[in-house]
Amino acid sequence: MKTDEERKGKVTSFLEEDYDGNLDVLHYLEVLRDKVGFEELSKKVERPLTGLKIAPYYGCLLLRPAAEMQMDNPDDPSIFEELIKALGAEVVDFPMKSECCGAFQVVNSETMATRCSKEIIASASSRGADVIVTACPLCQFNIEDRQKEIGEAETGFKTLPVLYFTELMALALGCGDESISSKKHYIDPRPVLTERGLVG
Amino acid sequence: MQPTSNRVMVIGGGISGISAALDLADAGTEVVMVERLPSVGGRMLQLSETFPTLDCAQCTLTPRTVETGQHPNIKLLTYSEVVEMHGEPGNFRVKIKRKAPRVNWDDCTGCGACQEKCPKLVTTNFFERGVGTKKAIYTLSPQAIPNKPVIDAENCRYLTEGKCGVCSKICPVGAIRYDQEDYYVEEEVAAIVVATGFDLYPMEAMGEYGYGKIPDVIDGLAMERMCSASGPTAGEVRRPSDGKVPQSIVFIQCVGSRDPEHHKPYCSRVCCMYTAKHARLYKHKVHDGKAFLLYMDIRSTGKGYEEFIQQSTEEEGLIYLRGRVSRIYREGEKIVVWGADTISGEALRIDADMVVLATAIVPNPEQKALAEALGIETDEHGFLTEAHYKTGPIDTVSKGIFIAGCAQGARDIADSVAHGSAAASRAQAFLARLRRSAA
Amino acid sequence: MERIGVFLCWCGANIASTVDVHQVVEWLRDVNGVAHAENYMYMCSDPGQELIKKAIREKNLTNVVVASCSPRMHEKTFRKAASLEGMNPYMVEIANVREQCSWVHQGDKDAATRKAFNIIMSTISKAKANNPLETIRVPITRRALVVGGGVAGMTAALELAEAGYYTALVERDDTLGGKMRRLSRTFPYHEDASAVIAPKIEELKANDNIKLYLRSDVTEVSGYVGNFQVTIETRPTEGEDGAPEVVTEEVGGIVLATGYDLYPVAAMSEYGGGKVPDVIDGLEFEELLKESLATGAPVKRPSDGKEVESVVFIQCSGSRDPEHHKPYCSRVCCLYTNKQATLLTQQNPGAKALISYMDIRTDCKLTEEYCQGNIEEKGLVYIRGRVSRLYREGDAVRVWTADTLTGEKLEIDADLVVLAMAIEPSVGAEQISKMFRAAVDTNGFLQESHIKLRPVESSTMGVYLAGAAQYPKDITDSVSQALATASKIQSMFASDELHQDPLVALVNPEVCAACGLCVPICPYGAREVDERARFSRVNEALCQGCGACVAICPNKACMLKNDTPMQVLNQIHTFLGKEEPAQ
Repeated sequence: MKTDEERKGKVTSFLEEDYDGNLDVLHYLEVLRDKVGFEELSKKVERPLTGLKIAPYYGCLLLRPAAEMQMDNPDDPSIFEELIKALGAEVVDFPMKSECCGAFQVVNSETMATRCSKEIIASASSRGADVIVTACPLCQFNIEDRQKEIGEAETGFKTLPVLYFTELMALALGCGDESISSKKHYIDPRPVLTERGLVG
Repeated sequence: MQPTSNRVMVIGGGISGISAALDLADAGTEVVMVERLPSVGGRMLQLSETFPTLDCAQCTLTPRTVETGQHPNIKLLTYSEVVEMHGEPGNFRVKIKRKAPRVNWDDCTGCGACQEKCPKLVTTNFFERGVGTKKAIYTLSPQAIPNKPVIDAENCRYLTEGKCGVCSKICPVGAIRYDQEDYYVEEEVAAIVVATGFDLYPMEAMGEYGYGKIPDVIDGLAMERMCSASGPTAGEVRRPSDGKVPQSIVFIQCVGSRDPEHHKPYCSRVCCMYTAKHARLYKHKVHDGKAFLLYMDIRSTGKGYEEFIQQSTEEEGLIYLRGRVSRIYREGEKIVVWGADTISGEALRIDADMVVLATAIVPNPEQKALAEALGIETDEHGFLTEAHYKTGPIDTVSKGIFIAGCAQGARDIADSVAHGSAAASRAQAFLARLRRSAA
Repeated sequence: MERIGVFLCWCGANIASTVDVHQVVEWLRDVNGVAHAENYMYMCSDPGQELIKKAIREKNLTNVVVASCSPRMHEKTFRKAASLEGMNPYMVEIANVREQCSWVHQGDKDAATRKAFNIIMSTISKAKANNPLETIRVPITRRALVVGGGVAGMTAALELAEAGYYTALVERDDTLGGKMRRLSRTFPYHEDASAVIAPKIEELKANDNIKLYLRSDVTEVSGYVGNFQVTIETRPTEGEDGAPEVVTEEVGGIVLATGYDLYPVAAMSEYGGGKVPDVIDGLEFEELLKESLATGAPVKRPSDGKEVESVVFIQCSGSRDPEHHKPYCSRVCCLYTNKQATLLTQQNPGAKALISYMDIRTDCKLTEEYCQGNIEEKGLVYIRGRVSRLYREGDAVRVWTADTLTGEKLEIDADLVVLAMAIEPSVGAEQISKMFRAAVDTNGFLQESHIKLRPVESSTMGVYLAGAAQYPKDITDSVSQALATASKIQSMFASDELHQDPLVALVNPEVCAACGLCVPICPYGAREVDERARFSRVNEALCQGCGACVAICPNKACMLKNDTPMQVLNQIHTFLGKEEPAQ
């Protein structure tokens, strides 16, 4: 909108409104980093997530295409890691953090979606993660939901809770135990959080 | 040891030899340049435009040939060949065969009337490579240095049939000498630079590509002549068989190169770039024409070369296909190219109007005999061998004899120019050492 | 009264197919002051030049206008031809009717013919007002300076010293040899790189004509071709105190051979950005090989000293990637990677070497045979594709790639990953280029003055380029190029003085107010205000006739010789058709 006159013309004529296109579109994580500041955020933390090992999952589209998103280096991102540190938790780096979870393929090929998610979960698990955290509701749902199927197919598969990043923020900023609901998750995150002394 | 002279002989008047000669002459050294053809300029004179800037080759070359022709320190012996050498470093005596041009060059003014009036058109002229014709009395180009014609004895009507004699009648200064014979001269020089250039591997040796017998399957130099604005077609791309503008051309790289089992094992270094250039020139002339380029690896390693290739694929619409051709044959008006696309793994068939083969760079056939006469080494392919691969690329096993350009191995114009200058430096350092030891 | 000769070149079909050369000559014959007009197929040819000489002789011409290609091509040719007939060469002008007319107006013959005539008329108006000029003679200091003590710089210095010229060699480091000192063996003969370079270093140290400046930097450059002053600062040896020693060398010719550095692994975030252990660059692997070859022990990986059993080599790391890194090909990586993999299999028998490539570019003499031979004999595995990611997985580095020939996705675990990093100009090259006024290209490499015919000449006369500072190249080509620079300098040093074009700026001291605006605007440092005489002077040896001072001078006190404001305005007026072709 800002750089493409033709596109701007199309949008405004569709909207039937004269929008000048100079609004910045930010991801919520960017607001936290650039407007609030992670340091500022860390000062507001009432219940640091000390000891919790979090694998940050970016997914394939949060940072891409890099030129349009202009958010972070898609090959070596740090925005999620900084958030996790600000909340007092421990970052688990894992190579699959920006691979596709396969959610787009669920309708087309469930097997492929499962395979994609499995690699991500296995990679995070093998590096000692307690939970995976995402910034995309579809990823969050998909990676969690796929674990049903994987668990049924493979005995001994260790499930891994998948949280949306706001849930962790709520917990850390002192919104109380009810920030994390067992019912909303297929894989209950509460046991591991209890184990780390963060809920209950 | 007292050097007999401060002179250096440069064998070969292509761009390497010219670079060596001009540097030496500018440094005050007397140069004797021996060139096999009637005029200097070498292969670059046959080229259309040069990669990656697409500058006209002749336009960049002619200032250098003019300078070579006019330099007071350069003695030109064109249409001449070195046959023997005696003596030792610092005192070489070189015997040179001066081929009979059958024209008295001292009298000839270069007016060009003989060429214009000569009734015999020769289609097999080596310079035009079958793309166009030359007369039986000719200069290589209108800007030839020196601008003196020679008679092609095999095709001259007077010499073959005993009749005609038009050139002799028309020549305003009576310079035609049908009975002129080759003769020999000797030059004394202190050092020698060998820059005898290259040839192309003959299409006749390539069965898979039709042994050079399929019309409209041409080699890279023929394509150069065709694209050249001052060439026989004035820069129009028309296939030789019927003069039609080809709507599709298949360019095949590594023809005879990188094929240790059948042909030459080495890479010819310049084909990837000139093929891309050919295809682009063709697309500039025939906008909706299709250019297919069959390659093994794209080797665009020089400055600005990779960018040139990128632009060729992204903006100029060249179609690159990775694969090797197994057979070419003619079917009706088309040339059918069979091969395999190694990326898709599928068999490939293209029906094209014309095929351009980037045939391997080989040394000139005469080079081996010359090397023997000079007492320097060649490798199994006939390229001149350098004294040390890394630090002695210009020197040979013989002191006082230096090598430059494609005679040593395939390279592009810029590298050949640098090589030529490098040879000039080695020759000068050699002369300086001689002077010091004589003092 | 001028007697002008106009010579219109056809340039084969280049001009004649678009411009009606006969019509133009017809028109010219009616022009006042034109004593001779003719056309010819190639004016630059011998007979063409002969026509010019003949007309000067027979028609007693005062000026010559050659209507042909750009003056960059043949101005020199025609000026020389005229001077052979006793005409002052600066009375010859070129009217560019090819690049500026026939090439750009193909298909519109009428308009192109009129324009060609106008260009010629405009050039005639300039030529009429030309003055005969003498070339500027500049004495030459027959001493040379080489910047950079790698193989290119050493070769140039040795060659110049051999030819008998004093040569100063400035090297930033405290040792000679450059990058070659870090190399293990060279391709294709596996010679010990140090053994190749060591005798050269000794030869250089022993040569009386060479002055070595180690641990030194060039800090200032002034002067011009034949007469440069170069300030060199030498740092004290490590551990010693004291101020740097400052010396000024007077030299006539300069070779820049400042070499290369590798693009840092840290810049490759897709390959771990330098944070993954056992992911190293090509030079680091050379050092591992060097040690292994010296001790006979197998190659061990840096993180834990484990004997290396599998290595993935990634070519084009940072090269050929216009979107993220360098757009160009680094030219030598295909060759050295093959060599490294070969030496690895020799030092660590049984070790697996896997090479990821885009194209195999083994195009130097013997290298195709060398590399193919190694692939067959050593079982090197080449995979065509681009590595998308690598990371630490347990004890190994895991590499993700795809084989573009089979279309398969691959995941490979290796003990060590070697990145054949892109070659970039060495640190400090930018500063060097500025000091010596040697232009660089878009990638920061020193720019040659003509890509084909002037490969070792920089944009500044008397400054030459050798080695990887100009563009990535192998040792052999660096040596050839270095020898070529030595040749250029020897040619220059052969004469007593240099002859330079006199088409330089001129100041009218009466009008000059000594305001000094011309001093900073001059890109060649050729202007200086004479405070006592109160006007600005021109150093004719430095001036390149660019005209920047003419444009900025508020009093119009500066002008260019044979390019005065009046000449330029007249040219414009004439071009705009004040004198119409007589029809």
